Amino acid sequence: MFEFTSFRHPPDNYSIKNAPDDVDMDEDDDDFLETGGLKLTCPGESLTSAQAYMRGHGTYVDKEEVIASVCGLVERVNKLITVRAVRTRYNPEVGDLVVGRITEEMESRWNSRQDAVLMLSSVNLPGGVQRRKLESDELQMRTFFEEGDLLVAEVQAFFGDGTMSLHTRSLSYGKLRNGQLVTVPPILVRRLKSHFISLPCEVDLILGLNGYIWVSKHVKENEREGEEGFDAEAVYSNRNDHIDDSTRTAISRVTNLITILAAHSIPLTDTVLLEAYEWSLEQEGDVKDLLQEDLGDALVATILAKGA
Amino acid sequence: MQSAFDRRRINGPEESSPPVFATEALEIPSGNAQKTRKGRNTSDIRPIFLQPGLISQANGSAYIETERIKIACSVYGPRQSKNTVYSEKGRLNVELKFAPFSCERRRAPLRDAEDRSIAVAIQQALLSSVRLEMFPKSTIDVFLVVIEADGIEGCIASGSIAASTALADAGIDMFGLVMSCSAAVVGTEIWIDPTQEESNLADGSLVLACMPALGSVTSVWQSGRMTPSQVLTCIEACESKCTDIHSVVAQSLLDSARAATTTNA
Repeated sequence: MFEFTSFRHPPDNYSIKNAPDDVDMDEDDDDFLETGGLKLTCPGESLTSAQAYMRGHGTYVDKEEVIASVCGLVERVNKLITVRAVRTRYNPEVGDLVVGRITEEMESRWNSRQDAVLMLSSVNLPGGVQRRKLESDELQMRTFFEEGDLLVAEVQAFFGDGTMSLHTRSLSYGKLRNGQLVTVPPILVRRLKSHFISLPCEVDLILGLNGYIWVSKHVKENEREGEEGFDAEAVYSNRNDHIDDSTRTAISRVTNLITILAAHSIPLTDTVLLEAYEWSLEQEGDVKDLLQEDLGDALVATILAKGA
Repeated sequence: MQSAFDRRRINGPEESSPPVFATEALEIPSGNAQKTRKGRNTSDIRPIFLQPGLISQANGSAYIETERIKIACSVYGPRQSKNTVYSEKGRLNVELKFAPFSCERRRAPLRDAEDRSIAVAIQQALLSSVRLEMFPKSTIDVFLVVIEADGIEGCIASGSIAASTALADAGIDMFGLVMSCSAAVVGTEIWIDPTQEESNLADGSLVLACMPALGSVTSVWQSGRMTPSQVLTCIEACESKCTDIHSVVAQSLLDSARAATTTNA
């Protein structure tokens, strides 16, 4: 009478304690709280008795029972029960640094993923520090940004309907070149003092708060914006500079490290990445060996030990 | 009324009706002759397909399909209310739109009055399930698009299920998942989950929305002629169906949550 099919099938090897076959409402086993395994829940599902435990976020108490009010993962810290919603979506705030891809070109604005717009009025126009935008600028928008271009920008404001507006008014923002993109769950990128990180291995990192990370070749101090070596023409260039082999290796090493750390749900900060990089150099392996499971586990163990 | 036109659309003629084919014309029931249900038992509902999280740009979304009913639902929020008046509780805003091609007759966008009444019915069904006291000064927007419709009662029921699933998918605090089921009185029988054709034959119909996890009813919507005992039988029948649907919906939400945690982990 009921049939239920799903577009994506969860992998078979994934087993969950208290498998959701028993969505029975009056089930009464508390052993999930002891094992520390993953337990998923739905709104309205009774978790445990309110006398033995305290209610945290995502739960409420009714008739002496702690009941889940969001759909997600049950967590327990001592006597406190919380349910964390599985939310992988990035919630923007003004001032956040994001990395995005242009998806659409419209009249006087560019659109990028997840409903953000970059107005022509909020980019740096070439030749001249600040000038009024002209109709000719509007016509040659594609010479600045094209569909498919990656860029780094800052959240400028929100429109009335909640879509965000970006800007690339600073010279540190703009089109991305000379590197590789890694995507991680947005929750793993914490808000840091600076989201532009230079590692000592000739690699620059841009940690976008939306979970997009740009790993690229290091830009020398005297070629930064405002210095005499700065090439203003290169801001909207579509060409990569020459990247030597050691830099390429370093970029892929950092990329692999980020993938491993993200796979183990470790929040990314500059110190964590630096430690991970130093550790990986000690291992004397090839870059691609990093992605093997045992090495990844060893890396995570070292990082966690240092963090503790 | 002129202003109620959407000028960007191709507006068809004022009066239009779909072509009637010779084979279809023969199947039109003559009077009260056809009073036995075709295709399924009186206590069966149509098979449900439900997929949470289909619309990536929304905070939460769900798509439901029950044979010829297809509804997509997206949830935005909680976000700051537009009016600056302080409100202790959040607002739940439900909007429903019929696609112009969703029914047998073309639905005229903007001039349709029925979508608002269905939206109100769905809002009533959801309202007591959402913990609005958790979201002061904010609004939760629920948008439903009916891609294909087959009976108003079915639309309300499926719409409520989709909306509740989308709210759960958005991670919004709720007391429980809202499930909904409809029933119609045809002659002496009670048919669960009637289609458009079947509700045309019916004397009266009823839509029940409840939270099976808590055993509480959120809304009952009854129309037509029914005796009190028929109403009670309908409610009981719908409630037991809602419990069945709840397990399916909870399963699909857990599946999607699990998929999300595995990709994260």
